[in-house]
Amino acid sequence: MKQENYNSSFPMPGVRLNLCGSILVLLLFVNSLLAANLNEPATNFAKLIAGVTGPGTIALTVANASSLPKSDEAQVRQTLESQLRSAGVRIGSAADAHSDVRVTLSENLQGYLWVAEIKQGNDTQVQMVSLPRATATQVSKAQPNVIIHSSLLWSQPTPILDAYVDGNRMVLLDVNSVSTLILSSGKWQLDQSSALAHSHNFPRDPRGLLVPARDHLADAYLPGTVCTISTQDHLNASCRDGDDPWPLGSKSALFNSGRNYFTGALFPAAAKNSGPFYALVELNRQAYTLSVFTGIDGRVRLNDGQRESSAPPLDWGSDIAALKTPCGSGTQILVTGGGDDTTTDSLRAFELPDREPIQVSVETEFPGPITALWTHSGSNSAMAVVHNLRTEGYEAYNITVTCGL
Amino acid sequence: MRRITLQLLAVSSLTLLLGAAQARTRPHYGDALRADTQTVVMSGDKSPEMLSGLVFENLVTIDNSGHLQPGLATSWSSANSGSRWEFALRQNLTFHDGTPLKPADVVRCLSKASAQSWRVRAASDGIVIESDTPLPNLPAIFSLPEFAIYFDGPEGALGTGPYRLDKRTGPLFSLRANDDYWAGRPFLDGVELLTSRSQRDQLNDFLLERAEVVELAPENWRRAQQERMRTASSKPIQLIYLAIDSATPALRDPRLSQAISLCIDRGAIQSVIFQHQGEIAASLLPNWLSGYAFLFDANQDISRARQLRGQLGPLPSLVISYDPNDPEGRLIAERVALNAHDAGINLQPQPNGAHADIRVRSANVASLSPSAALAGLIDQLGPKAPIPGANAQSLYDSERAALETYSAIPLVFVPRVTALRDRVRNWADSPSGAWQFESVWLARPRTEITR
Repeated sequence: MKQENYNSSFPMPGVRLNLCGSILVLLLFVNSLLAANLNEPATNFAKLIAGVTGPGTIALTVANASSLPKSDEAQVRQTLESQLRSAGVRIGSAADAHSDVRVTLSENLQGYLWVAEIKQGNDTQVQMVSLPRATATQVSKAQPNVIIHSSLLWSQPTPILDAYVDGNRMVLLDVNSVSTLILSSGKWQLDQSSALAHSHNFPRDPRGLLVPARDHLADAYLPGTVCTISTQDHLNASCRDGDDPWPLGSKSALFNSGRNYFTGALFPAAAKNSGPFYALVELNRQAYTLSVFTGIDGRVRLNDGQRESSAPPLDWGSDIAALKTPCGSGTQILVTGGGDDTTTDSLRAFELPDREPIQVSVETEFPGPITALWTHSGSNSAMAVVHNLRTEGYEAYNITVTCGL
Repeated sequence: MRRITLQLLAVSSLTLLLGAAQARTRPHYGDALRADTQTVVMSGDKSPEMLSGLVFENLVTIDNSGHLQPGLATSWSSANSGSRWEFALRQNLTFHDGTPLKPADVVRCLSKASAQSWRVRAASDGIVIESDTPLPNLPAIFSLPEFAIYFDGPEGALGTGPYRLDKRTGPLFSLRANDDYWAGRPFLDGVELLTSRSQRDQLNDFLLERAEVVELAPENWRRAQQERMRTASSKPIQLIYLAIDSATPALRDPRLSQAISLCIDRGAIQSVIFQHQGEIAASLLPNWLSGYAFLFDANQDISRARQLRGQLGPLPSLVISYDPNDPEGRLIAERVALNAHDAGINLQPQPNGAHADIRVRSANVASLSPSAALAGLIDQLGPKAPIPGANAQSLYDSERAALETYSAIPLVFVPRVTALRDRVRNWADSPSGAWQFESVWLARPRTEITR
């Protein structure tokens, strides 16, 4: 995917941006359409038609009743005509023709369907060829000041729960297995996989977290299950039932193994249980750490260790992650956008200089809902998992933030 | 119609008040949803089609792109050009009462589901099916509701799906979340499905916030959109057709059925009765599903109809019947009778005629796999015909052969339209319009969130 960014001249630090009036958005359409190889099916189709008409003169009409682009339609027509001629069929006017061939480039739910109606006197025969439909296009937005960068690392049909990159190796957790991938010639390639054995079904909207370890590769936290990932001879995931708290920054939090949220119980114990939440990020202040929770009631709560308050009503999604960057105050909160699992999603960056969040980036859009957002690599990058609504696959994106001018 | 329009206006006002967009959040667990449907479920129907995918599951499912996906079977393979199939069952499956699902349960369901030519037997971790003739599209066929896998428990049929049937009280089906569902517990605690509900009652339930999900008549869809009601529409999936009674002596001559088919102004039915929703039909499968439906001529040809009529000699008056609870059915019957009159054929519209010669009926295209959908329709509408093959050419040949019997005359395909309250989340628009409640959840009312 190609992406371009536009840098504006907004000074960033300490300035509250009026984003409504000042954001310039550059829309870039990246056509990732893979030109389908239409010559082969067109050649086969011509052979089928010629098999019915035999040599001689035919009248040929081609109509496009599908989403096939005009340029491809011309290519199909050209190939058909040339292949028919190779088979001894001459294309002429209806008056001279012994066969009237009407080709319709149609389509159905599963792909393209080319149909030829071949009329010879009172007899009509039908020939058909099916072929898969090409993939669609990708739209991305770039933003002018604090810039969110997303790079697609990996995609697969199985739901990805988390992933992190460690040099030339990526560790990836999905609902069935943990895998390692190796960066080779600029592309991630699957190296090893180990199945996750667990004794109970995971809840719908499953979540999982990878935490790199010192004496083994990583620990994987899943609903009601904890796995130790090691790589001594080969990749191995040793799992057990357990409700061990999941490490989230300097704290650990109990996860509700039958649902998709944390119970609110924290270790070390907070002065006040914040109630169930989906995500927690920590912002280091001079004298304290501010914890930001996205509650399952839709509210964003702020806890400074002494007291807790609710942020003003926000249009934040329930997944957030904090990144340490050289921009602005030094920490930006990445926030998912609106909609539900049937709509596309986005990420925005916010800062929290006081108690009121300030948006410091425009939206970076993704081709489906963000189903996981975790911070890794010393908190200067995040991993977002997107359920691509077009391909139905799950995509792991590395998310970083750079400063605008 | 006017009454319904006024109701739509009232609903839209309510929707505007409540319909402010809310931020994305992870799905909420809990709450119960009420949905109304016109579907009538017979009291003896153990595994009603309406509960397919919710309570009862199949070995194979079809995704929204029409491709096969694993269901209760994780994989399948064939040998001998499709004369022998092996299906591997998912491990550790249980019915809703905790009884393990065994290969023998699948064998029992597939053996009695339909009088088919295949032989089924259990294997160590799945089933084996053998047939004297190749069955290239058997996995797709197994996605049809009639091949659902269920267990006859002492208190009714038990399935394996995301919801279990808690109780049935007359037309009300109460479903409860299956906590141990293999693909994850549904977000909702329960679903109340109220069947046999008229369009008018459904709209009232929606207006009075008694139901979160209701059906809308296709002809009311445009109006609902104008009134900013939240709606979801399927592809044209419901086939409205004329069922021809072959016991009527006059109709045993296919030329009469052909003449009736030729004289019908399908365009008027689609534009006037269904307010331009859907598409005219001369085929069993809609073009978006088959890609070749345009090969079947849907044009009105009165002169050819008169010509065929003229070859038949004196004809008795025939009865065309419709469901008295279906206002569109009555209009269609009247329209067809009018067209037939122009061709010299006398049809008398009657509600629910006991001795009807022709009936206005509808049938759902039950699968997004063309081959499975056609097999289901042929089984439902026409005389027994071989299961169609898997490729487009074979499907086309089967469909043409089935239509040439003139036991069914297609008229129009109409979409399935659903109205949804704003707080219904994760509603997946499916080309089939099927209600897929396993991932749906309910947002809490705004007042509750901001309190």
